[in-house]
Amino acid sequence: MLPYFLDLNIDHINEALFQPVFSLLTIKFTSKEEFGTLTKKCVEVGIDIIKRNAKKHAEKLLLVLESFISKASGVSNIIFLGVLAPYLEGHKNLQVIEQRITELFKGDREGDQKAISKCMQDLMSFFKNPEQIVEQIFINIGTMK
Amino acid sequence: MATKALSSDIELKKSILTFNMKNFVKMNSKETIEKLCQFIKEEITPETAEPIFKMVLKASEELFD
Repeated sequence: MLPYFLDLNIDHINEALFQPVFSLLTIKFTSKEEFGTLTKKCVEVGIDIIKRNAKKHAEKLLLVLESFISKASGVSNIIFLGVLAPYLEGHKNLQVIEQRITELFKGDREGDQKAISKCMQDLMSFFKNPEQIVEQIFINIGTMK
Repeated sequence: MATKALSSDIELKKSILTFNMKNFVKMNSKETIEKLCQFIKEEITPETAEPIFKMVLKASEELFD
């Protein structure tokens, strides 16, 4: 119900709702691999909310998402930070976010990699040289045991 | 005019407070719940958005737990 409701009423999600909405999306609804479709829908709607609001409220979104880093067990929070990152040019926390996303790509949990692949298009805008990253991933696949 | 608007606002808040969304979701099919979401979309206004979102988020959290 939640992702469907949020998607339908996305126009009404304002600054005051970022905290309670992303709290549910990151800490609960995307916390376990077995949630499958629920995770996918929640990640999609979270990305939409960020894209609609990041131009005006990037700083507030960053504060909210960073507050869940230690509480969220899934990858959605890092994905959300990755989608937000292009709107934070020059921000002091950008380097830390870059590191987290790079770590995410190196992970080997199947569920995490599936979640990342589904929002790859949104995450790609985050990287300055995506071709080099793809090349590196293929090299790594070739050397995997 | 203002009194009428205020009274309808109070009525809405009352009905939101008494409506048990958690039970509604538990007792109804996916299609019916989607119809409710659709109905909310048609009726929601910037003034009523906050209590409605609070209700839905609270129900979602309770259902998850």
